Amino acid sequence: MAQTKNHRWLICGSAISMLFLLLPNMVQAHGGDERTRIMIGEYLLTPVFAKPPKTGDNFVYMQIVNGTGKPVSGAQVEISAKTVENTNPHQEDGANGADMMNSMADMQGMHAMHGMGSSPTTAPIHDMSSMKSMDTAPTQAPFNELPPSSGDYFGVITFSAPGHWKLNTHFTINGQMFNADFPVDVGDRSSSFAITALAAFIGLNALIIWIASFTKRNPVSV
Amino acid sequence: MTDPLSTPSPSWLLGGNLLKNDWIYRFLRSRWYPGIIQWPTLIVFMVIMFQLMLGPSVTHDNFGSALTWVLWWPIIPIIFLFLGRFWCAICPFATINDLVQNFVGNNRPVPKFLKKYGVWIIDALFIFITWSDHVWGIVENPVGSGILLLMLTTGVVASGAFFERRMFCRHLCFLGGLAGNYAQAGMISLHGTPEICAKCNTASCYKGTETAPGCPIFEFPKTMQSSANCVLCGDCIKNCPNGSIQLTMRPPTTELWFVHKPKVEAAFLAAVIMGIVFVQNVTMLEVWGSILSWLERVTGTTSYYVTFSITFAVAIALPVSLLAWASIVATKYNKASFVDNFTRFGYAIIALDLAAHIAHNLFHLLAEGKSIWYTGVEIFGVESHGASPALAGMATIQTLQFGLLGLGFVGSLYIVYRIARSNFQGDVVWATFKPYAVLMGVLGILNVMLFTLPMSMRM
Repeated sequence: MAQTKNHRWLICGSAISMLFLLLPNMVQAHGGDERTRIMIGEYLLTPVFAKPPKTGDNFVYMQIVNGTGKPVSGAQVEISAKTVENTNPHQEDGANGADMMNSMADMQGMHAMHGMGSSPTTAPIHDMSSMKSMDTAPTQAPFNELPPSSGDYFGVITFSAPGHWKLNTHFTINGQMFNADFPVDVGDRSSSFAITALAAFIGLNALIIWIASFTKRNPVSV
Repeated sequence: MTDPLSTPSPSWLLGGNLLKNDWIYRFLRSRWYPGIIQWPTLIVFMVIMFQLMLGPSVTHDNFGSALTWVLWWPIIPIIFLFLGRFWCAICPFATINDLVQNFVGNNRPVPKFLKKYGVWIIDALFIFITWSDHVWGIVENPVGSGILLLMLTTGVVASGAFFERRMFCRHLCFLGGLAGNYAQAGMISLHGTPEICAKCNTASCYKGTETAPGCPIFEFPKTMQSSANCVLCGDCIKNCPNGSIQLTMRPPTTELWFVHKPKVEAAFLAAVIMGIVFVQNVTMLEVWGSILSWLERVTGTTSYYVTFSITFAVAIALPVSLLAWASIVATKYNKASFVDNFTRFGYAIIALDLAAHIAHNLFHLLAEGKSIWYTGVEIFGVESHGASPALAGMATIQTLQFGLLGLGFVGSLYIVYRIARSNFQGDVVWATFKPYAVLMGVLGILNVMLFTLPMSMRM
């Protein structure tokens, strides 16, 4: 009987520990559901991250509708990303500017690079004055309209570090260029979380092995 | 002791006993097998873990991610097809289980509920892990992949520490469940020779001897009628005093033509795997963003948990419902119960599952294969940004994908026919065949449609 109880405690303990291992990820995953909408001229842009933005690859799609709410198709859409300095203490131990730009170049690894045109119209919606953008050459991720004529545009953006980023959207409709910035908070999938998870793993497994060695030497009859 | 080599047979490669080949026989009986493959695999696993947990945070640059999701995951179903569950014999989790067991193993019996509901638990775990991969981003995040592997390692350590043999591999490993289904469609089979086993009273293959432990997966070759739980570890070959064990090659899917004791949970898993292949394909398609957008408009929420879960549930429910529909229709003609039809004919989906699974992963293997090299040399400071990771062009990949799907479709159709023929007679065979042929046709067409659309990469 005592052995059965012992098993139950072990199973419950293992399950609870595994939930704790997962918890930080779950909390992060809730963070990106708020929707940003940007009005530029007569166009309303809604950039949507398929999942809350985190370091690594992020699937993003952009809805563009006109003043009457009709989807705008045939636009050329590109998004570039820049980090914003001094807004997140984690950035200091994350990556420096050069690393970030290297990584941003990575983002183009499997997506064709498009040249960046000048942007006669810039319409920042959010007040970015308190943020200082890194003075680095931005790179673009081209977006494809899928399905055609739907007004929905899809692409992949890679963030190399957690913290505050600025996404600059360029889109061209009927030869007219538009430009808008919007901020993104990128969640941390950094090594600190990995080290916490590793520590939890080692602790839990050491505990399991210790209990097993104890119960092996002191068998409890059912 | 009877030496199988003493019985002359030239046909060991053509459906005969592979153990009649001197090299194979000596290798599998050697004390070096499977350790000589197991230990290097464990070392590679540790390198992968190190890279996943402490390497580059971007999947695109992570060698562990490349090895896991571009190399290992795509080739694993191919291994199941050609070598059955051989992977399970050299799996690092199995090695860790054995290692822990040797030091502190309590060797307690497997809990009864696991014996009874193990496959259902595997089904649930498989569904949960796939769901969590999408919701929490396991594949696209090295640390996420690492945590999944750490959790599995913890399960294996607990299993090895407290329970006998490889309890985790038999009753809890989600990949083991998948492997069990695919191995039945596989080209290799291990079994005892009935005439020799009938006279045997030692059961050394199950119990073990001083030479080797008993079957780690709790199988008894004397009565074993399925390859679902044979990992080709070679222990029974080493232990059998009568040289009864045979290792034979067979055409793919042969075992599925005559499943002696079909299990509803295995049939359900076969249908679920098809749904999971749909999910994997749909979420990697570039139209996925538009589908999400539409779902958000319909449901009125932007929560990915909600939108993805709906997609996931629909994708899983689709093949299960179609199998259920075909079973209901077949019931009208063959008068068998719905559950019997669902269970028997569910196995026929396995061939299409395997083909679709390999076809899906072929894209990652061939379109991203070079990323393994690039991320590997990046560890040593060699940069390769911008280089194409493709091993083959899209036209070649799609040709192979459609070829595989075609083979899987034909394989599934033929299994349906064979199952119908072995259970029914006369006109009932074709009357039963028809609804399942429609099922395979629908599943095949859905797969073809998904494979024609552009797909996103993992790396």
